[in-house]
Amino acid sequence: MTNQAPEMALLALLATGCASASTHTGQDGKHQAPAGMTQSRTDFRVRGSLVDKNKTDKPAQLQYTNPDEGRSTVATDVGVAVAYLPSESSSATNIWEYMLGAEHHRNTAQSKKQNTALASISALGVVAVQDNATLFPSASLSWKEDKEKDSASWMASARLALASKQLWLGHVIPIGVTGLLFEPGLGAEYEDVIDSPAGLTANGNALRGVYWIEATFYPLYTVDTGADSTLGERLELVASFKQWQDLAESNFADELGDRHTLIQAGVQYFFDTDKHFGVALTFVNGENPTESKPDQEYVQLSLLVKF
Amino acid sequence: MNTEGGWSPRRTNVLTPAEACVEPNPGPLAPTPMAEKKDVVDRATIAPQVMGELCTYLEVDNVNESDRLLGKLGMGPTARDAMSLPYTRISAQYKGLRVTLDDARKQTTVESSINLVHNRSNGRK
Repeated sequence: MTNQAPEMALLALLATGCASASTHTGQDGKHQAPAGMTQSRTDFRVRGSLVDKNKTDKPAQLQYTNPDEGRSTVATDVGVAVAYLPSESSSATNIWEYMLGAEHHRNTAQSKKQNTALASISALGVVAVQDNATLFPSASLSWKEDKEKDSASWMASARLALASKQLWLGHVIPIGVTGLLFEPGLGAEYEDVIDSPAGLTANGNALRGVYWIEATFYPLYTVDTGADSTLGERLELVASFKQWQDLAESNFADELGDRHTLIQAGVQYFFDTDKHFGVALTFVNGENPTESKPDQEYVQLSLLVKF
Repeated sequence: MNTEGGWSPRRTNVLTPAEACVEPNPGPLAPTPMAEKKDVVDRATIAPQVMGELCTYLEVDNVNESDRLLGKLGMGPTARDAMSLPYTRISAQYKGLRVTLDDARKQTTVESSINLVHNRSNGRK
């Protein structure tokens, strides 16, 4: 890990949403689904990442950093996709969403330079394994261009997350007046670098295993605050631990070792009950090989806007 | 036992989700573009189905429309994602639209979840 002095970043704008452009086979009789079937549907989506299940619900982000010393920097995380949702029957035990999209991750800070563009096709499933346990398998195939390393690669990934009431995964565990939420997952990635400049990185491939756990602590979860009963869920302490382990490599120039860790911890407070507006203070330490995000450490103050 | 006017799968004076799964009759479509489309299914039919699915998933006897999914029922984002499947099954009974993971995750209360499934079941985004 690098050990730079933490810097405060003043943050600008976060915007998210499943933007509204939507079409579906209508009720005009021309393309009506058979009885007991939903109509097919397409959505247009904007978010922070399309490939990383951990970040698929994070907003697209434009970040402006103005440190005490040095020049100001800009960072963006944005993914845009068209999602296709096929017809599903009223007896379905699993449903799938398919996305075709592109994303861009950019950071101009000298210590954590990043300039990555991805085009991807992905599938995300919801599979009922019991009445109260659900698996979320996902798979994606991406083309990635890393303009910092001047390299290009394609990457296949498969991931699996689980929500289970019996295992308290995805469900808040009440502890006194507080609450604790765990959301884990695991997966594998295969990346094949097919175009890289000699001397910086070499062409080759790497197979990585990845697992993560995100924990959210609600310090006032069951505290009755009178008229506003939602304070307990609007104040969150969030910590996530994500680790990639290189399982096999060809002549991949491994500058960063075989184990890659990303730790994030922070506090979030939302001003409104529907969590549209908030503020977050987040500590980030580590790297993200999926997005070619180099090893870094910083603290950022964010204004959150989510719709 | 339901004491706050909520829906319980053990109550006998309301429809169970299975009983509520009636074959819809969409009726004639509006003859003019200006006329509003008639709902395929009304909210009162959808509500017990949605509440029944939540009771089953959460292993609780009853839920109320005013219950918050995170604050009262303890459903984190992934648990809310999971409801996209049973909600889609409900919507399918009325030839409605798919309920996406995003749709399900954004809901904050039982009431908003019912509204979501009601809208999707009637083909509204």
